[in-house]
Amino acid sequence: MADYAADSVLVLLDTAVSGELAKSSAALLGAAAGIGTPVAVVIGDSALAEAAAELGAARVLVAAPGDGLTVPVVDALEAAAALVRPDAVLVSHSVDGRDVAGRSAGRTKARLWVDAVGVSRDDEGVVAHHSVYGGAFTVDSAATFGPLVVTVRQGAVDARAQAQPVVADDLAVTASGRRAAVVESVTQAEVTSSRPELRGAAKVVSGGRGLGSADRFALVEELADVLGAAVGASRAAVDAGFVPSSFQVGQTGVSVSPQLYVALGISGAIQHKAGMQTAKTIVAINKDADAPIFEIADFGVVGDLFQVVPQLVAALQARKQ
Amino acid sequence: MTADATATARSIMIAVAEKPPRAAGVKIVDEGDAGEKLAEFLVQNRLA
Repeated sequence: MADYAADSVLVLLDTAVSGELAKSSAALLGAAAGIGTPVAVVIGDSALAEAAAELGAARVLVAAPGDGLTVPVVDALEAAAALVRPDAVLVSHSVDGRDVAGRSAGRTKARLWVDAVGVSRDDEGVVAHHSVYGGAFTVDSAATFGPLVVTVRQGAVDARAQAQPVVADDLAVTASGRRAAVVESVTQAEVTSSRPELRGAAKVVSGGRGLGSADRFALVEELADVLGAAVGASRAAVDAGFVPSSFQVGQTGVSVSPQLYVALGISGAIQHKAGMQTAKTIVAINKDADAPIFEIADFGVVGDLFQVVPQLVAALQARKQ
Repeated sequence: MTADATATARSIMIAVAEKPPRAAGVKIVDEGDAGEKLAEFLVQNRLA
């Protein structure tokens, strides 16, 4: 097996339930290409290797799926790290990715950085960038020496790598035999929405107390659908029972970094801003001209959202035709 | 536990910066055409 580049960056790609590479893959490989030579690790078959090369992986290591949750992936990543000797290992900050990253760093005694919003390289090695205290500060950190494992926040990296020719190798993995949880049965939940998932969505439309009732919250969904956005909510809207708590954006809910964040009837309490102020563009509609959300909005509309949003939806629909 | 500080790699913070406060952008008061103007803004920024 050929040698790996000295600046190799190992990238573990998640596999979606559908069997394809997870949406986070393009950004992970884009981030890796910015600091070295991306070497992807995929769990599955050669079809995934082709998909990974298409997204910019210079080399792809294909590991066969093992039995049990997480542990076989950690085994594969450990084997890949021993083979490639990467400068860094990038993992998605997904539920699966976080689990793998923690175990992996523990086993290899690597430094672990969670929820990075970017990576770069200086004279001495790889540097991770974090957005902390609800996005109010940025922190750069490095390891004193040795390898490091980084989980990268979904939606935070815009860079995309150029497609590469497929160079795939099978990865020989020695199962560690550590105890792992086993999935005994899976029942697919009925899909009631074609909207993107809140975490990692490129666009988010959120509603707050200003919507007034659960019925009128449908206006948020209407705008989300015309934009192809995920639906979120402020804590006030969740507490008022307009939507379930899984919609909550903010310090005690989901943190999002979308390209576009639209806040409807949300005042912009600090706890809410903590979960969304890293959005690239923020749009706010609120009838209170003094609402703090306007301090961070790129485009603010002081007005009645029940007037403005239907007009906006109609205008956007008209442009689509 | 080893007392040798060089035995294990550590994470070190090499820079910290307060993010410049987000500059507030355009703020308009609805005069009946805010929805149209907002649609215009989204299209111009390739967000719609």
